[in-house]
Amino acid sequence: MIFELELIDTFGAERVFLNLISRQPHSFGKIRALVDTGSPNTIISAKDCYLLNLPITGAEKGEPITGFGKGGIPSKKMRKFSLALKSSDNKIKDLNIPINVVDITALKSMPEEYSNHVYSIPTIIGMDFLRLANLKLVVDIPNKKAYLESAD
Amino acid sequence: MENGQILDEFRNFEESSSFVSKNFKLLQEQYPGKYIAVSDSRVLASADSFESLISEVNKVGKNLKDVIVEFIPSKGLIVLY
Repeated sequence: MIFELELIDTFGAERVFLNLISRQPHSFGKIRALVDTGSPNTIISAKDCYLLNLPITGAEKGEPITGFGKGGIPSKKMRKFSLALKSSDNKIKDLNIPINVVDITALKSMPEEYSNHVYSIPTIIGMDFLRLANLKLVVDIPNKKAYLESAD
Repeated sequence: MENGQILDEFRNFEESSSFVSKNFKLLQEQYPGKYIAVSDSRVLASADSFESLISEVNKVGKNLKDVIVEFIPSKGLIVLY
């Protein structure tokens, strides 16, 4: 199965996005995720956590998410997150994988400027997603094509 | 939720997502450093903060489930994500 990705040219720099649907109970909806092979983990963004109305209050505390800069973004761990992908021949592939979610409840007590910055970070598809879903990533910049291929 | 409904949702989603991808340079000219809400292949609302954008979307009476929200980085910045 092939799952098309969107390859965006942003003034000479490329970014790759994957469209997913959350099938979480009571949190059905769209997730436009950035594919980032530099990230070991998949992270549901603050923006998508809010828009999906994910029930994270009772979820287990996750490790802080860090990149450049000081400190880390608080997270919650969801042991089983249900997602759907659409293949190029209109088939649905379901996934149930553990995922970290930005803890938007903790962001409320943080400075507005910091919180606003965190909301600008998209959902990240990390290397764990490719491993758990058994997917091969192909990015062909010269031909402006990117896709995931199921190894199943 | 049946797979048929999921496929319908994907079709609607891909239309909006493709609009953002194809028009990204134009969006970066028009909405640098702003959050935008996209629905039916058009920008429904824009704002400086995520919170303000949600208020704008609510004002026009659109369900948050029917829009995609994107942050458009300004030109001239190196974005790591």
